[in-house]
Amino acid sequence: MALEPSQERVLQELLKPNSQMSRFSRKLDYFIIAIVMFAVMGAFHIHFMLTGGDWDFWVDWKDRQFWVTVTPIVLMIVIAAFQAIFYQHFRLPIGATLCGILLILGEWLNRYFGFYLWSHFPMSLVWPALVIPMCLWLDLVLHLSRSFILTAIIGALGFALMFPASNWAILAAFRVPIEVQGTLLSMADYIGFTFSRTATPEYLRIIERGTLRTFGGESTIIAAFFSGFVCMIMYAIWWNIGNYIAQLGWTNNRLKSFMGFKKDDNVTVAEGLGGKL
Amino acid sequence: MTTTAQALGDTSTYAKSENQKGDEVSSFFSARGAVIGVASVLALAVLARWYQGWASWDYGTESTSPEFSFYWMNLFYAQLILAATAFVAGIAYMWFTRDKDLTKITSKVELRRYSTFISMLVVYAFAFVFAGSFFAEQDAAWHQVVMRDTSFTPSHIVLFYGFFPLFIILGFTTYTYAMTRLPLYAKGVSIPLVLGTLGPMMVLPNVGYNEWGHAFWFMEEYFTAPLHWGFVVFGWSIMGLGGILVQLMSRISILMSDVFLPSPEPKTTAYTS
Amino acid sequence: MKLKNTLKCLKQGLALSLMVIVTALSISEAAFAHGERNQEPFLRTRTLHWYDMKYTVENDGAVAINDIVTITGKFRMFERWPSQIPEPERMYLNVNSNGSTFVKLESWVNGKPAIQSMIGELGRDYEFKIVLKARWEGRWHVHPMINVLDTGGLAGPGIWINVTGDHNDFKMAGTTLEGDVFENLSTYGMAQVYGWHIFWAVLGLFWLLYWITKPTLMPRWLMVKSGEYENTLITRTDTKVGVVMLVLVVGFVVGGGLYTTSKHPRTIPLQAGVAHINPLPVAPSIKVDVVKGNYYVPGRTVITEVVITNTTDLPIQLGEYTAANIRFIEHSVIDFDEVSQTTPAELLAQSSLKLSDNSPLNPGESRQVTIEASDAAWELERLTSLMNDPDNTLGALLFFYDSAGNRYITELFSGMVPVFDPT
Repeated sequence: MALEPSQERVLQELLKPNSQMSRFSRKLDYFIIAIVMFAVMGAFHIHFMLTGGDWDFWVDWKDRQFWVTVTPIVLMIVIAAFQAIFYQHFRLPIGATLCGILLILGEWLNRYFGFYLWSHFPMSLVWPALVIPMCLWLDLVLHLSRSFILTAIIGALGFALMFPASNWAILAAFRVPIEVQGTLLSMADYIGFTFSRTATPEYLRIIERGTLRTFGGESTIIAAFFSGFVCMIMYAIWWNIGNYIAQLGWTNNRLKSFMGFKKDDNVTVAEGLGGKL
Repeated sequence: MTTTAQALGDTSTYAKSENQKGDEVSSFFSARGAVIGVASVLALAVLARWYQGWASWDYGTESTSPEFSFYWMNLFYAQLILAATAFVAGIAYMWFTRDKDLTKITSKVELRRYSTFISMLVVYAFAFVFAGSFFAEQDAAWHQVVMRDTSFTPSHIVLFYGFFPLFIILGFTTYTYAMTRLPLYAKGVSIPLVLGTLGPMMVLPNVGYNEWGHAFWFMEEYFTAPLHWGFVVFGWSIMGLGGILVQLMSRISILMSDVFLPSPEPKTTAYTS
Repeated sequence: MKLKNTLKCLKQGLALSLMVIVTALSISEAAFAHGERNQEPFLRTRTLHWYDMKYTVENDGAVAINDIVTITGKFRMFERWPSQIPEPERMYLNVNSNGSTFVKLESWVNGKPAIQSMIGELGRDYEFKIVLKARWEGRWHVHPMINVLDTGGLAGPGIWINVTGDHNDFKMAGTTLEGDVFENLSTYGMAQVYGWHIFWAVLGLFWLLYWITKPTLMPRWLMVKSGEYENTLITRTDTKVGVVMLVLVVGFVVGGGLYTTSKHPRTIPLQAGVAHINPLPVAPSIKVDVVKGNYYVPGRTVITEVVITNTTDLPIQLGEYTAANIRFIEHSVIDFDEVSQTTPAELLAQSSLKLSDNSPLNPGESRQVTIEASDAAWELERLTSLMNDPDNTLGALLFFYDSAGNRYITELFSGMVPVFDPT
């Protein structure tokens, strides 16, 4: 893609520090960064809470099989799309980290105001899982490899593997055994039992209930690898969807005559088409 | 053209910038509009959350009680009336004060309108935070601890009929602003703009799917149940803002050249045909 | 923008004035509940029947934070379980107390721990005990409840409990099998959670700020579009910073994991087994055949015509009729005052259960009688909304007593024909 002559002049001017144009551009940055932050926070959080939320809400849903499998896959959906938009058009390797930080911010706000203050759940039951390390990994692989394919293979696999690995630092304490009423429980089970949820009883948990093979000791690793495999595919699909969205074009506006345009007036490349017509 | 600027309340900055050619930058992207908009949305959210905290446990758990009708259903009806009025008023205002001849606008005016448009997007996106993040996840917290006995719970009344309409109204108003004041969005319909500002509107009709699912399909409160996935898909449509971002870069870069650079040849307005 | 702001101001103003009106009006505090009234009557009368309920605190009584409240009782899984919902393949003894305002210390069914979910058998009785501890101040409505897979929560009779104190004083100490002592379960493990979240947020924010503190959008977009500035877009410094970040990320994930494993060498997966608990032994019961059932709308009275056959060795009398947690007592058989001391008023019909003939029925004898259960509760509890339901049937439990004071429980199941204008 080549620049229009006027755009080339703008770029040359922007490369001069403290030019009028640079200051304008910086103001534009601040406003757009605000839009991006808010939009990503809303879109990513609603996406995640409704596809992987239950596992993230409750400590006694954070199991070795489903939590480990589902979370990276559903996170990858929006992350890959945003990563594509920021990297392909701005060469900014920050899409994943941005998504991760804003998701965590939205979650903490809600775990405190909603789950704790409104519904009286303790924080030890409702803390959100760590997602920033895996997001950083994905951005860094893209940044250093500069390759969508390598990121899909190494980045997406590592993304899924890093999820249980990074969370172990906070989760292990909740997997310590305790005896309650003569029954063996993990601390997570015990917290879930003690602070009861009216609408999500014990049986509703979608968690590892045991396997038919002797893989008990390797559940997390198997789940994480499978998740990584699906993440690779998800990454490829959603990277392309992100690209597709960013270059979506225009259709005719039948109301244009009300704003003084003639029937044949259309958006042109010289005006900054930014997509197909 | 100045009439539109006046209507949008930025006459002072406009006049100032006309007189002070030396500093073009200060006449763009006044933070005032965005800050007032964001603060208003935040104030509404704080008020709504405070009201939930105050009235939900005492009057909001039993939908058949007179207290519920008083404290919650009245709020619901008031919101419906306000939302419908604001929706029509927002679009109507933008349409009836439209610029009737966009072929004659100068690059500077257009760029200033872009700065207003972007400020409006800031407020719109901020309202979406409360619809998509804050009050949405709070819905999970509330329905975990009560027996769902109506479609209009203290959580739903604020989320579905308060903040969903709010961001939809802001989205539609912003879209109409773009169509009636910015030449590109008047000449063509931008698909990303439709996706980003109008698309998420579909989460509101999707409430019908949600309530159908809760009434006839899932009796238990899985938050990740398929009956909620309509919200997910329509929430994705705000990714259309990524497309708007590219369109903005494209157009603004050309306008920047017109406004800020001495023209190598006699400067004409972009749309003089 | 002006108009939008005006609209927002208007909206705020209206909301505020609504609130002012609301606070200005004094509204009597009715004893309303958790929404179970809006559950369909077939669900409330043909699933679980709770009886012999005992609370260690009286209705509307007060307890302090950290005080213990015990709820005991029995429930019958109704044999004619509604076909609209699946049979109770999994169920869970729970407590509904407006969030975790009370915590569960223990829960028992038939003397066995009911921490895990169990399988329910229709037509059988279970005895339960829940030990609760007050955690959050306020006035809360506390029910025992059974969650049934694919059906949801079925609440038992609830009482109001006033909790005084400050939730910050709540304590729940314990010892893990590793020997670690914890002071408070509601903050257990949170130091690591907060610490690691903050650490990663700082690292993540550093990475974002590294990029967005430089000119971010327009110049980069133009450079990318031009295709001739790749080395300006990503400089050697950027790459070096990236490498350092990558080492840090991998290092802290691996290091944090190894350190944690050494700190907690013995961990177990989430426990997901099923509690196998047998129901109480089957008790002898009285034979009751339903002839017809009517609901008299003006009198708020359910009248059931039945044939009762005494299958026991002693004369019997009907003492109580209970449906959807509402108790109708035959005052001549049961001491009503005693019952009213332990049962919340909204769950107890004040007028006596009426039978066309409640003289003792001798062993082996049959008698056709009408049973009248009359109370405003039928309307208040919306049980008569069954006229709006596709399934117009009602279930109840009948409690018979013999001359030696033994109790016999029989299920009653009938259709319900409304009588709008009895003449």
